[in-house]
Amino acid sequence: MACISRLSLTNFRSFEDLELELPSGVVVFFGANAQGKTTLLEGVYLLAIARSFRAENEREVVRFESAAESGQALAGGEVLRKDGERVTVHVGYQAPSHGPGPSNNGDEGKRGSTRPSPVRKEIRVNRVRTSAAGLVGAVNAVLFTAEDIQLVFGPPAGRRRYLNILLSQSDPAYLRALQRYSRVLQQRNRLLRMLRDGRADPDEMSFWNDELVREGAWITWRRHETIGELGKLCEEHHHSLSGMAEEVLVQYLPRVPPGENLAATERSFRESLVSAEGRERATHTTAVGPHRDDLGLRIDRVDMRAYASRGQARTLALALRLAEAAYLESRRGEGPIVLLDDVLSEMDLTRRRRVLEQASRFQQTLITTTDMDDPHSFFGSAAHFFRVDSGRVTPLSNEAATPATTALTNPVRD
Amino acid sequence: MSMGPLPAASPSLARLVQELHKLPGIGPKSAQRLAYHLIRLPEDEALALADAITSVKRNVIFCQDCQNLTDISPCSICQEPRRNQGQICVVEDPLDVMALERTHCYDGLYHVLHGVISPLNGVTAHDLKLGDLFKRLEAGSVEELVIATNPTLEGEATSMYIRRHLEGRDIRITHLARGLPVGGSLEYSDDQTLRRAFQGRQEL
Repeated sequence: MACISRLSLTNFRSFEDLELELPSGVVVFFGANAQGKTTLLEGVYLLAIARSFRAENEREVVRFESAAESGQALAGGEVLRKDGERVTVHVGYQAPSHGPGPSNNGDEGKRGSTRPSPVRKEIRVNRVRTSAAGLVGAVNAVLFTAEDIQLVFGPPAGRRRYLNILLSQSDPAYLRALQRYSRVLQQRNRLLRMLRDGRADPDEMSFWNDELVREGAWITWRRHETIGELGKLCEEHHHSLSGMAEEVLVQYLPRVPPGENLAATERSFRESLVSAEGRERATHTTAVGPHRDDLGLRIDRVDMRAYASRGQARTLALALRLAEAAYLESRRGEGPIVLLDDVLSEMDLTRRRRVLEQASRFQQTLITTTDMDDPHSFFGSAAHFFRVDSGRVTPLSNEAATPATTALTNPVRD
Repeated sequence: MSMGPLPAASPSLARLVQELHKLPGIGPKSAQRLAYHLIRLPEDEALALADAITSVKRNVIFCQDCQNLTDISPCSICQEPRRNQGQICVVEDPLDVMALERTHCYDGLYHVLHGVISPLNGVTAHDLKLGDLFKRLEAGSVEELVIATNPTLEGEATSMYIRRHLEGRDIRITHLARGLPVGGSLEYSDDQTLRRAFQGRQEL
């Protein structure tokens, strides 16, 4: 099981320069809102999946006022693995100093463009520069947030993202295929529009078709293979959360039907692509492929995406996250770091206990909360408490945090 | 709404800054610094730069055969009689020719495409010097085409387009090996490079 033993954040959102030693086990960050609690989890999760989970544009994470001189924001960490190996991971954002970024080739987009140039990301594992696919898998993490309910109610993109993060963390080859697929998709969509305008030859399409089929069929097949085991795990966790033996069905709803093996899936993909030609000529976008997949979520046959109550949706989303952690553990032979971002306050007592119980099975669980009574009454002195206040993180000794030695219900008030 | 720029004390200086800013990789601050540097230069040095730019625009042309940049056409490489006329190495841009020439391991001819197929950048097969390449191959004296586009998705798209176009023709088509960099180490190679290197392993 892995745990993160040191986290450093430099010019990262509200943190100018943070160095934090983290114990294994349950770690609770508490404090008022907007003090930087979620940013700590964002930093850890960034080191796992190479992307910020809450930034629409990753530029946001750079603390520009203090980054001006060095021009970069950095998240770094030291991971302690099951086998005792220590791995250091870094993700840095280089803010464009002035004018266009270095990726600019020629003067295109330079004049008249008001879109901010993207930040350049630099990823290192054990100080060696690598790609996102080289980082993902170095440390696994599963994040629970209050927005997880959107896994059930939200659009298919959120459920695809859930699958993509799960599969990328269990197999870096998946992330690589996904990156290549999305590049092929962009190129192919642009080519479809160029063909419409008579600016390209139809015979240029065959390379992009071949690549789309190869990467797309592989992604479809990997998703298809995964969903059975994932569905079973989800049902188990759902039963123990709800206490009811409802039938939970997590279904893969692929845009291209997978065959009985990868080769058959490739044939199926090619057939779908041929039959979509007419539609593609009308819409000028790629009509088939894993970018149009969805997950079906049913409880006792009822489609939860449309008909779940808020309570049902919340429980199902929790079950999906717990299944994600269990799946990663079974695949990697090493449990992920569990991150609970302000999710406890939303739950009733039974679910809260159940989630904390599950979470504490793992080597390390990081929890943020505004109200520390719950984790405290659950874990008592078995957890480590940190107070987060305007970008400062201070450990609280267990004695001070124990209500037995202080009459206060919330020991942070003095 | 912001106000427009204040009237510059020196419109000709402002014009120089503006022109320099158009260059790739030069932001507004760098453009200003370069402009002030040029002003402080002795007149003959500054004019030498202006003259070099003028001369490059007036004199540099595409070689009629390999499409490389040259002052004379056919270029010196294409005119060199000792070069192997039966081999053509296809590259993305003139810098690649210089890189390969530095190795002294290739004595055939070149063909410069001036780009790669990339619909996202608005580049199709027609925007490249591909027609000229296929015309050169018509002549029939070429035995081997070495494709040396970069190992990127777009480089592969270009390579595949050429291969498809020449299907059924009696020309040997090869491409450069993919794999480990010399002096590199297995431990620090990414999985994909390592996989390619393994697939392309050779007899000792």
